[in-house]
Amino acid sequence: MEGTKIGRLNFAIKEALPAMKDTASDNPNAEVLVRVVTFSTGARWHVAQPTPVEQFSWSDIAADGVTDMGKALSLVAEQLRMPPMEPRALPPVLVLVSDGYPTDDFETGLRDLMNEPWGKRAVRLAIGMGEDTDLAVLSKFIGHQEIKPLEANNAHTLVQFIRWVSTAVLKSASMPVAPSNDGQPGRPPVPVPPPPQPGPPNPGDDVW
Amino acid sequence: MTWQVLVKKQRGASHVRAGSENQDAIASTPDIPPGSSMEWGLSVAVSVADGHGSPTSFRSALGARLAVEVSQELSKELIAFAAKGADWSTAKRLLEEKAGRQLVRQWRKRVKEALADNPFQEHELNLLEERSGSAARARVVDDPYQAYGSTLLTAVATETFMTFWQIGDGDIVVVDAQGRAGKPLQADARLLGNATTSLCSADAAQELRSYVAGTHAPLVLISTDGLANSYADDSGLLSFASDVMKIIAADGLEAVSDHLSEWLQTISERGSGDDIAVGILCRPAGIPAAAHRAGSHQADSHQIGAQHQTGTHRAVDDAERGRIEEDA
Repeated sequence: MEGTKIGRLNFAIKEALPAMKDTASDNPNAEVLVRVVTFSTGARWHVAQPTPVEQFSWSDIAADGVTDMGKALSLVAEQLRMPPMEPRALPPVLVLVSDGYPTDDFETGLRDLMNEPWGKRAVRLAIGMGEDTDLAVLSKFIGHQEIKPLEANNAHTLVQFIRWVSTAVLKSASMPVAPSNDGQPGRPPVPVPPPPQPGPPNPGDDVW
Repeated sequence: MTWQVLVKKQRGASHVRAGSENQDAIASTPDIPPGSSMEWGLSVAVSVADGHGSPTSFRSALGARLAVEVSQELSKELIAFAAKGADWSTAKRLLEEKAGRQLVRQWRKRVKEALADNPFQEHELNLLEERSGSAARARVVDDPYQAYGSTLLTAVATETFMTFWQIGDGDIVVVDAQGRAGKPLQADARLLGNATTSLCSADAAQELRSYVAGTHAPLVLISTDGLANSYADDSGLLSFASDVMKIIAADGLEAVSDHLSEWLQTISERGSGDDIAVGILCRPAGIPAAAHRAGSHQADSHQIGAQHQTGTHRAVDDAERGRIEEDA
């Protein structure tokens, strides 16, 4: 991911965190844990331990290397195995943010993820940053025709989308309701509220 | 009278916060008289149902009520068979051959009637679209049963057999005379997290799981998933059922009835936050009360009651609240 965009992503996540914490604190029956994988040349845990959202803080990430998205999905898949995951839990929310085309074996990573019951049951969302994003790959990750990748073409829209997944989707995923798919495969495991309409860039902002 | 039955329904803590209605339903045979939560009978049955509560299933509280109604009708058929001398093998054949189809057909018939009496209102569909998008609205208009989606569980205890059936999540626990608790129905590995099969699924009749036994355990606990989901694993639920039997042995089902609402409220607050409907089918003559009442057991049973009231029961303390992991 190029330097300007990664800076905007760092900003957007920090901007969304207070609202995410507020949303989580509104529901004491759900314990929200956050962890982060970054991928460039290779993939690694940026936040390795599942961290209670109220203790979570964001340390900036930097842009370098290529786009080893497949390796990132395999890393996530390892942690969605049972154990350490348990059968009784609310569905994980996986948010994939990328601005490019995978440079490694994306299909293997996706297969690893979907081979895990909790990978299949996860709420999978994706945000593409800019025109160079491989939206077809993000759609494959989501795996649901009614949910499209979110296209953030400026910093303002990116903040909107990060805030949406951190609040509206989080709220929906943490309610004790049966899934909207009513047991049918191929639909998200929780009701996914409609995303915000992308707003215009702020004056002076780049359009990606 | 052989069996005693107790029913309770507790609105979930998260539903109280959200101001939403209790979407669980419960019904029994015999009917519980107004002002009471218990009744006796030669044969008894309890049905519980958990309306999905999702934006799509915006009429699921009614769907759950219709579910327990139709399941109680099947229960009465089985009880009538038992009264005529039918044994467990007859009950098993009836369940395997027709129960799934009958329950789903009757439920869909009642949903259709309810919908004819009260068609979807524009504000209901608008709210669904606002919360879940236009595709969700189109799906419900195309398949209105989804609006009423619910699970269904039933336990029937007669003089000659016991039988259980279930579509979707929730739990039926049997406790034997030695206080050992277990689940007679085979687990459905697909029901991960809050996923469930449903009466509104196209293949709902095939989703029925059932079990018939010729022998009688002295206690059966039937519950919607809000109870089990408040515990980290099944051991918490099984321990709760065993503790209930200890209290019955010491102080009778009345003691459970007196405190069950408080316990369920605490369990929901500290656990899943979901609605909970619980039925207890109890054969007091089968509970070795003398053994439980002897020595320290008397104190133990009071202690257990106190622990449940204060929410410090081990299983509740162990409960891991729902986890969401957000990976970026």
